[in-house]
Amino acid sequence: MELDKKALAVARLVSAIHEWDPRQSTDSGDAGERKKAMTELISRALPEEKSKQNMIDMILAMTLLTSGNVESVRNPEGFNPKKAKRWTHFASLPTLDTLKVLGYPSYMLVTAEDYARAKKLLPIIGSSSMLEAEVYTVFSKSGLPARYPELARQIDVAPDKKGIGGYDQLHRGLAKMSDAGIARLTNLSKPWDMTRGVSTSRSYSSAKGFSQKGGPNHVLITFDNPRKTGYNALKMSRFGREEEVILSGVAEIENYQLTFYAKETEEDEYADGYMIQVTPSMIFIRKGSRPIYGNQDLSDGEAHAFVKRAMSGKPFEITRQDGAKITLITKPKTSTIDVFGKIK
Amino acid sequence: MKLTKSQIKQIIKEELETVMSEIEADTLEEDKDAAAEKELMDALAQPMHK
Repeated sequence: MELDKKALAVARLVSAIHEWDPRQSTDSGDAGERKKAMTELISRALPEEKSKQNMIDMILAMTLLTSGNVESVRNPEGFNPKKAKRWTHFASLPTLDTLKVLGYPSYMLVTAEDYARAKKLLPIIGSSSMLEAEVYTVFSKSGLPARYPELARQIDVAPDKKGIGGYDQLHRGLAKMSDAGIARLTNLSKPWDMTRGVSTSRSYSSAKGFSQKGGPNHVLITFDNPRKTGYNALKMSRFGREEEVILSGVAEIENYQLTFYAKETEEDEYADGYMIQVTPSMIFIRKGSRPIYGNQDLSDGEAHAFVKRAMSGKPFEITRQDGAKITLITKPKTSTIDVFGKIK
Repeated sequence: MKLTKSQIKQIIKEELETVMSEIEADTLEEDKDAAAEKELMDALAQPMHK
């Protein structure tokens, strides 16, 4: 399956159009202007049926990852046709509008074949990259900048150019991870294989919000994305506030800042707890506001081994700065970790 | 020093038990690592709102 770059360029422009504020007097006026611009763009930039179909496939794959059954995306053979729902159930209004312009009947039931196609396509669109200039050329050739100067202006003045050239940094929030999962995040020697396609966000604050949702162990991951790869779901996703970008690739984790809490095994429950901070080269422990242990000369393997031992739930011994040995035990699910990685 | 047959058997038995328990511990550790890996990849595979 090859990537249709023109269809991808139009998909990025359509996402930008759905973010455009046409400044009409009503919401329906805004929606009407967006639909008009999108219809003109698609008819001028994608006259070939094959490219239209390719764009439809990209949109459907994005829809299944962001609001479909993720298990069926991973394993289409396990899809139960008796539980099939219509596209209208999963898709956002901007997506339904776009599918309509592309001539796709969104009242159709989602099938196992749709999931199988999405599984094949997500790694491709998630690892796709296009230069801003390439996408802008498609935009210019469509004649839209002249017909919708306010749209062109809003793309030009936006610091991220409304994502038409991709994003150089993407974020992901995770909540409810186990302590063993937290320890895994500190293993820098093992790259993350995300080639199946994962959901990330262009918005730091949105990802941070999700990292703190629903319980302890907060994980916030920031990926540097030098090739600006990814497929912009943004408002096309039914969860538009997540500002999603589908990303596929291998991530190398370069850094992290972990904080968690522990207590002394022999201590009463009202004593000050211990706050433990770990980076790939440092461990720092405080009791209340008093520093009691510091080691700033670690290898990332040593730091990971420490975290793994501490997160196992078993007691661990440290030698305080004053020479005394104490035995600590980690308070379960008290971790907050910021992870920094890079998409290769 | 010459070992008797039963002493040799005993040494082999003890060594075997040590190796078996080490293998078991390694396997357990590998299983835990694999479970943590799977948890992370499964979590990433889900959309953020899930």
